[in-house]
Amino acid sequence: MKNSIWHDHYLHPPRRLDHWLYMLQFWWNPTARPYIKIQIRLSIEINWRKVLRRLKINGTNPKILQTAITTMQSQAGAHDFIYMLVNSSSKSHINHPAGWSELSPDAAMKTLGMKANLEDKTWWLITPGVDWLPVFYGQIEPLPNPPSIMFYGPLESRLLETFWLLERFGYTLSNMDDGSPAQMDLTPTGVLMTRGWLLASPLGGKS
Amino acid sequence: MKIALVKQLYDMHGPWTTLRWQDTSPQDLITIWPGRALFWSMTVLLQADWYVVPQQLTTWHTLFSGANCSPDREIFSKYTRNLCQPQDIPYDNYDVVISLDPCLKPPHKSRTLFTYYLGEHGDMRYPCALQRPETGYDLFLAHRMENNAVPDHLPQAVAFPYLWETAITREVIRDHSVFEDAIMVEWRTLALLMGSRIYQGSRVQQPGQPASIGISETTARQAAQRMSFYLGRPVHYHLLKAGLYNRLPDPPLWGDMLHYLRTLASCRFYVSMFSYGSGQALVDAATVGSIVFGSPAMPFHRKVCHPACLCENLVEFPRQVQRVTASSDLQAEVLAWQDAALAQHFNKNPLNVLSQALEMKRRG
Repeated sequence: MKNSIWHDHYLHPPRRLDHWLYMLQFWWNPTARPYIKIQIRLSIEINWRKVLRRLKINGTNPKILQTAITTMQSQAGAHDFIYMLVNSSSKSHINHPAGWSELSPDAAMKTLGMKANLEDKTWWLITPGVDWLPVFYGQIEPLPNPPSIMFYGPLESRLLETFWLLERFGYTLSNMDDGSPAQMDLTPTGVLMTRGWLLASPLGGKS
Repeated sequence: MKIALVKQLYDMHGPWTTLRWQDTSPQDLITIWPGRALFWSMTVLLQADWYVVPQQLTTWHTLFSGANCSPDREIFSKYTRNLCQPQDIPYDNYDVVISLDPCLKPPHKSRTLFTYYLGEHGDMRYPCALQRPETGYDLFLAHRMENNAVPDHLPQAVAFPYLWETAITREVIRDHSVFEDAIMVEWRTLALLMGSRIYQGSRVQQPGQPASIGISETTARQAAQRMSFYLGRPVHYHLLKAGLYNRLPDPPLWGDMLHYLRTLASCRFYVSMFSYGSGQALVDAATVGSIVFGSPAMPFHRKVCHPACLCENLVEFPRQVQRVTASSDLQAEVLAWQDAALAQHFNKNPLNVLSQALEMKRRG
């Protein structure tokens, strides 16, 4: 959460013509120009996101996903985890034999038979934008052998709650590379970024 | 120092009338003051007179809020009393004039120190003013604290927070409040939990009540319930709603500030993990006596928060809350720290800056 020029001026990118005209009257002031450029970039970014959302294109990068899956398999074994992806519109993309599908979280749980299988899994992989907090509420705590959970960013803000929830249940969050405490940054547009892989381990609080 | 505060007609902040301090009181001010508490506490501290002048210039704030458009424009005109032309302000009666926005044309060779705030830091005037104040002004008061805190020449931009007062504020606010061992979470923190920050300026229409900003009442209530689970105690919130800054109701929300401050004062703890500006709301909470948790990314949070209450990252925030809430000794230490910080950073130091600048100006 660095206090940068981005953070200072992200708030009100111009929306109407009179906003643009007001802002651009300062273009010839060399002090104001970098701030104006930032507002323009922000405006483009925000509107581009709106377009993507309207087209229902999620932000999940298949390469990142593949890396994640490979890492998981090397860490935990191919059949020893559940992985799920959920995009920013809270639709789940579940990797299952029939290929990619777009499902609501509830439907995703049902498809996977998640409740029944939870206790068999020792690893979960969670990636962006999950609306699966109810799963944790109902099901993590009673597990006799709680799973380890790996995270990779960028993450939607809601996932922050998951970290807090895990802590409440006694999990320890750490950086997978060096075991250092989990760190997250807030980007100018409010997306939480993990720094590399994070591991939520149940060893800290639960037995 | 005798101080005058000046605002323009379409500025939501401050009283909606020209008035002299000697003709009013902290309680009476609230009845003619529908907006934020920010300048109310400052007025009480400085015992300042207020002048409301007709709109002199368009600012980013007036453009975005729509304050200079109908119907807000009519509400301002209908309820604002005793407008004063800038040239009718008796500048010589004051040591310092502080205007909200550079809306005055300060006279040459005046012995009065002319200063101004820009409330909207997204305004392009703000970075320009950091380099050099507008013509005629002696100081630009940079409330985001970017510049030097000590003036060494005039004109100049100086790091200068908004000012707060505690003793009278607490006396007025605590009057009928109910104190609860609960946490007040700032609405932006709740909105952050629910999604990306770029959508937080959006209005959420709600049947039967004013639109809320960034998050709906239902969503906020659910998020607060979940937070109370993480934090281990009741969580309350106060959403920002249409009618406070723009889309003004008729009549305006007179007395809303008192309700807001009393709501803050009713909770022992206050949390704000980020804000759009400097973090003024957190200082409001500290002023009324809450233990405040904030982020080191915010300039005011860094000044007010005890180290145990500054959350370096969002992951550790519940941990820190639980550490502080579990220890009454630490809470007492935090409160003492906050009061000292308020007195130092939002009262004594800034007033020293004004004194030094005034002396500099009068020495020529």
